This record gives sequence, C-alpha cells and structure tokens, in this order.
Amino acid sequence: MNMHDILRMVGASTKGESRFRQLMGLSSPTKTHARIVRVLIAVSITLVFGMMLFFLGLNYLQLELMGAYVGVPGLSWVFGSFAAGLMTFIFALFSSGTILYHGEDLRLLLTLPVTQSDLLASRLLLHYRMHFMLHAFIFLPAQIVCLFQNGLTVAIAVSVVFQTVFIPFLPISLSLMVIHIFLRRSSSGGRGRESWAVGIMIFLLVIVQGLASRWLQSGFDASSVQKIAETYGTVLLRLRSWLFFNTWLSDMALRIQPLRNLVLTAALVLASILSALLLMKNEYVETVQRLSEMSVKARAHNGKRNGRVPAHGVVGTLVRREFAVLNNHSAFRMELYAEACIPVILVVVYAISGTLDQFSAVAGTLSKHEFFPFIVCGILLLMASFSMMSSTSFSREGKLLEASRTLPVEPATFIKAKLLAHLLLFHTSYVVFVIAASFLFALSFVHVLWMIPLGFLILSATACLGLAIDARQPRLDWKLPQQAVKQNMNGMLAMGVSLVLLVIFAAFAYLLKELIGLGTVLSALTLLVPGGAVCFFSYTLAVGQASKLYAPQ
Amino acid sequence: MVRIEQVSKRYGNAPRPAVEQLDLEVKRGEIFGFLGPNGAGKSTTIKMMVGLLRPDTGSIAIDGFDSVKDPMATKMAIGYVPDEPLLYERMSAREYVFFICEMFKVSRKDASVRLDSLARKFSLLEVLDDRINTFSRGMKQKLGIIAALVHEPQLLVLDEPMVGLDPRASFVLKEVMRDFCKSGRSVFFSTHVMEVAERLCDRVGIIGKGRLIACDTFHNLQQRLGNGDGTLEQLFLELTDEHA
Ligand SMILES: Nc1ncnc2c1ncn2[C@@H]1O[C@H](COP(=O)(O)OP(=O)(O)O)[C@@H](O)[C@H]1O
Ligand SMILES: [Mg+2]
Repeated sequence: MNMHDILRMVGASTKGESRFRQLMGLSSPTKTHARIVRVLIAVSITLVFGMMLFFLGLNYLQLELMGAYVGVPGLSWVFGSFAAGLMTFIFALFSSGTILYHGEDLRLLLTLPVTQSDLLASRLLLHYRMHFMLHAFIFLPAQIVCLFQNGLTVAIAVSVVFQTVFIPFLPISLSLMVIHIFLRRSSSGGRGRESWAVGIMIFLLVIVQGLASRWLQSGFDASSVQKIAETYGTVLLRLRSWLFFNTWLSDMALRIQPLRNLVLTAALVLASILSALLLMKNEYVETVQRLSEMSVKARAHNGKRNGRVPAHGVVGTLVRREFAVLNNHSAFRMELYAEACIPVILVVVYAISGTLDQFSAVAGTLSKHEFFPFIVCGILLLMASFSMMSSTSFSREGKLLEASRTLPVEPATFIKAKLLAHLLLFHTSYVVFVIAASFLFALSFVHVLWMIPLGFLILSATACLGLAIDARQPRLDWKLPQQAVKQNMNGMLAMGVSLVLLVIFAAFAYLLKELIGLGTVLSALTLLVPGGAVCFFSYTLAVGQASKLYAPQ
Repeated sequence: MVRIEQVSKRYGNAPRPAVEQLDLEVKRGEIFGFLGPNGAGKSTTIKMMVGLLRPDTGSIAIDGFDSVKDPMATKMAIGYVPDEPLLYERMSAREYVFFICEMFKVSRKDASVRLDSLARKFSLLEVLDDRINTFSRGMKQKLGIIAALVHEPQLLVLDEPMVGLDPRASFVLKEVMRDFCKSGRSVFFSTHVMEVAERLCDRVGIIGKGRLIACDTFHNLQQRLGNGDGTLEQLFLELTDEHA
C-alpha cells in the first residue's frame, strides 16, 4: 500500500469539487440583487438543513428520554449511529457501481503504474469522502442529545471524533462488497445487474426492517401505563442486543467498558475495510475492463431499434432526450428510482410492521378536522417537490449542453420540454399518491378534485424554479455522474426554495380558512389563483435564465 | 520492444472480434506507424497494450514484460496519449503534470525541469498555471503529449496524435518522436494521415477489420505491390479495399 499515491489519486478526482465553493461562486456580490439572491440562498439552505437537524434531534431526544425512563441510557446514540450507518449504506449502494467501475477517470488511472490495491483503496476513500457528510449529518444530532443528557466527558469527546471519522468506513466497505459480488461475474448487462443489486438489497432491508418492528411490537403491552414502562424496557434491551455494534459505540461514549468497546469497534471497521480490499484485490481491474465493454453493448442494443424512429415533434423529441439523459448513467436512474421509491418503501415498511393500521386509526380521528386535507396535500407536495429532479436537469446534460446550444431551438421550448418531462415523472406519481391517500384516510372525492390541479400548479412552479436555479449555474464538467446530482448544491437550493413556497401556500390556506372563514374546498379553489400566478412567474424566470444559458457565452 | 502474439479481442457479445489473431513486433529505436480505416481495431489494439483492455487470447509483451502478468512494469515503461484527451479539468496544467510525475515516481526537481523544456517546445509555457477546462482541444492534446513524455518512458504509444494539433505543434511532435527513438526507445502510433506515416515511420502496419493486412517498411510495401512509385495513400487504398 502506497498511502501517498492513494491520497494523490483521491485528491485528483475530487479536485475543485467542493460544494461550498460552488455555493460561493453562485453570484458575484457586486450588484444589490445578486447580494439579495445570495442571502436568500443562504437562508433557504440553512432552513432546510436546520429543520432536518432539528427534527432528527427531537426524535433522538424522545428516544433518549424514554430510554432514561426505563433505565437504558444512551439510546439516542444507538439509534443515531444505526440510522446514519443504514442511510450511508443505502446511498453508498447507489453510487458504488459508478465509483468502482464507471468513473470516467478510470480510463486514465488504469494506465498509471499503480497497483490494483492502491487504485481500489483510492476508490474506497473517494467513496468515503462522498458520503462522509451524510453520515455525520444524521449522527450529529444524536451525539448532541447525548452530550446534553450526560455532560461533556473525555469519553464522549473521543467517541464523537473517533466514530464520526471512522465508522462511515463500515457501510462504505459493505456497499462496495455487495456491488462487487453482484457485478464481478456478470458477463452481460453490467448496468442492469447493478440496478438489480440495489433493488434486491433495498427490498431485503425493507422486509427485515418491517419484520423487526412487528416482532418488537409483539412483546409490547399497551394496556396500562405501568405495563408500557415494563414491556418497553425489555423491548429496548432486546433492540440493544440486536444492534450490538451500535451498542458498543454508545457504551464507548457513556464510559461503559470504553476501552474494550473502542478495540472491538476499531477491529470490526478495520476488518470490513480489509475484507473489501481482499475480496476485490485480484479481480478489480479485470472487472473494470470487462464492464467498459458492457457500456458499449447497450449502444448496439439501441441500434437494433434504429429501423423505425417515429417522429414526435420538437418538444416530444426533447422530452424523450431528457429521459435518454436520465437513462444514460446508472447514477441518474438510481437517483430517480430512489426518489420515486422512498414513499413506496415507507408504505411497505409501515404495512409490514403494522404501523399503518395504527396510523390510519389515528388519521381516522384526525380526518374529521377541517384542515386535514390541506395537511395531506401539503405532505404529498412536499414529498414530490423534494424529489423533483429539475434542479439538476441542465447539470445532468454535462458536456452535451454545448450541443444543445447549437440547436436551432428556442430556450422556451427547452424549458417546456424539461417541465413536461419532470411533470410526467412527478405529477403523475403525485396523482397516484393523492388517490391512494384519499382511500387510506377516507377523504371525500371532492378533495381529490382540487388536489390534482393545485398540485399541478405548485409542482410546475417548483419544477420551473428548479430549472431556473440550475440554468443559473449548471454543473457541467463532471467526471462522475454523482457530481451532477447528489453533489450538486443546486439540488439543495431548490429544496429550500420549494419549502419556502409551500410554507407560503400553507400560510395562505390558513389565512383563507381560519381568518376569513372560507370552507375547505372554497379555500382550496381560491388557492388556485396564487398558484397560477406563481406558476406563471416561475416559468418566466426559468425561460429568462435559460435564455442566458443558451445564449453565446 | 513490443511483441504482440496472436492477440484477439471481442467486445462483449459483438458478432465479430474487433481484433483477430494479431501478430506484431516493434524493435528498439523504431518508429512504427499503425494504419487502418476507421473502426479497423487500432484503438482496441492500443488499449490492450496500455492495460485498458485485456486480450481474450494471445499475449502482449512490452520491454520484455507481459502486459497482463506484470502490469506495473509495463505501465511504467509506457507513455500513452489517448485518442481523446482525458484530463482532470479542474487542475491546472502544471498540477496535472506533477500528479502524473508523482504516480510515475519522478522527483519534483526532474519534473520541473522536464516540464519546463517540454512546455517551451509545445508553446504551453504561458498557460501552465491555467485551469485545464479553459484549454482548447489542441492545447489539451499537447498537454496529454507532455504528460506522456514527462516520465521518460521506454515506449511512446500515441493514438491518432495529430488530431487537433496546429501545424507548428505537429511539426514539433514529429521532431520529438524522432529524437525519442535515437536513444534506443521506440514509438508506436496510429494514424490515418498518410503523409505523416510516410515521412516518419521506419515501418508501418496496416490493419483492416481487425486483421493485419501488411506490415513492412514503406519501401518494401511499394516493391511488393509492384508499383514502385505509388504513395502510401494509394497503397493504403489498394490494400484496405482488397480486404473490404
Ligand atoms: N468499447 C467498445 N465496446 C464495443 N465495441 C467497441 C468498443 N470500442 C470499439 N468497438 C468496436 O471495435 C471495432 C474497432 O474499433 P477501434 O479499435 O476503436 O477502431 P479504430 O481503428 O478506428 O481505432 C469497431 O467495430 C468498434 O465499433
Ligand atoms: Mg481509434
């Protein structure tokens, strides 16, 4: 192992990839309106991050307090590290294939005189770098909660540093191993198998998670407060023994055999890294070489259908191109699937675990409330607009955007096509969820009738705002497709902006209903007016930004 | 210096191999031109030489080292200029060259000296500290060539190196290739610019549809085909047409 070479390679791949710098380069703060934009950006991003951190923290605090009540301290640490590890594992799965096998810079790195193990180690580190923040972000609130509950000790301080830095290696190495095992013997269709691998893993995780919570609840006796406290203790202890690794982590921080736990943890993390390296060491380069051929076979496959290419008109063709770009890189497809699947996954988890029954029982009482349809609609819109991928649409095109510039097509036509493509993906799924929710909560059909057009307007606005944001400063010179989607600050920015938009509409709804006293349906219909206005405004904005983008630079 | 024996390569489940039972030898001190129409298998052969692809059958030895069994030694011996420049665009040219030097274990002192003289030759001296994504295609190509030369390999492998170069740069490159061979090192390059091949190469190999059609000195090829004063272009057209 040549640490120096490894670090140089990681450095080369990540050179200039700082999200922070992307953010700061967004606008030159000489003009006032540019300064205002920058402040708005900062506010909306802080809002999104702050809110997420806050809610995570609240959840952890609740756990910690319940744990303390039944005499099991450090519960937030156990769950925080578990959640962080699990999320890192899932997201790492999505990018493992690209990092390991499809990175464009591999074409250069393979010709350099570095050993397979060094190259592999550099990819592992690169992967680690990509996901470090995510892990820290989910773990941090739990650590803070524990800190407040137990006070600052040397053990906690050491644990915070050690665990934040080293634990991500465990899920990262695991994800690389899983993808490698699926892909190493694939003699055909490397990309398809990658999607399968991720699909199967997530499916397994969902099933395990659902079954686990059902089984845990089975020992739970809610007949009286005392019973709750009693059974809760045993359930929590059971959980702690299952999540033994996370229990080591928590015990380390809480000075329960800290040294033993430190050694155990370090051993397990090291073992995971070593087994990943050993597993792939001898066949890594061979797999990269083989999969570089696969990527071309897909082209031959497309060629077969060349015989008949029906005409679709300009917008239709551009919509198809948008989907073609999405399909081009597994990273983009994964992003899309992940966004589209998360609600489904949640529903499945809840259904298996039995939470859904309780949930709809609670909702049954709630749904009598006048404001309830707004809440349902708001949550669905929030989900749809957070997963809206329009804010990376131009970035995803990458170098191909140059080619778009040379086409004799109006910027407005590009925007229309992109808008249509994203609405097809996200408004359609929104409609499905609206209908499902109306059945689940026994909402009157009238509500479906206003939720669909209101959703259309608000999602169009969100999509256009995303497009405007991305057109303003697209990220085009990426080598790894992840850099265009996940490591693109525009995505975060668009989330912040759409959150602000939804908050404004919620305030509107409240105003109309509670202060002016309109009925639910009437308020909702009134909302269509500002909805249309925002939609129009953001469309104009997007076209304006796109004109600048497509203009000669 | 290069010995390619019975090498075949088929991509995925393509109907026919991109390279079929190829035998080639490049001697020390020789400039070898690899000619062929588009899609003939030139880049595929080169990618197998530099370790980007693995031959299905046969073996490739570079400077005595087997490319599959001893990849480190072969890579150390090769300077490779790909058909499309692939560079870390957010680095400056200097950073990029130093990165390559670190990988090839060239000391920083040597690296600076060599970079300086190469950059002067290719007139890139003024832009060495600019980011690569501000470079034109030709400048990137020049930088790729510099990066391939800077670690002083035994064998220079270039895939269509003249593409995108201005007349001055392609003149310089030809000079550099000639000088390179003087000390017993060799150059292997693919091209479809006949004039370059004719002037520069000690020997040429002509490949069509993955098979080697001819491999000899230009003079001998002329003799063999019996038209003593034909240009390489005419030869090329005749040879590749026969096998079409
Ligand atoms: N990555 C790839 N996957 C599948 N087929 C390829 C790939 N690269 C090249 N080919 C095919 O192999 C043949 C030879 O290509 P190549 O070696 O690039 O030709 P050239 O002589 O122009 O450099 C062509 O038929 C091409 O279509
Ligand atoms: Mg080629």
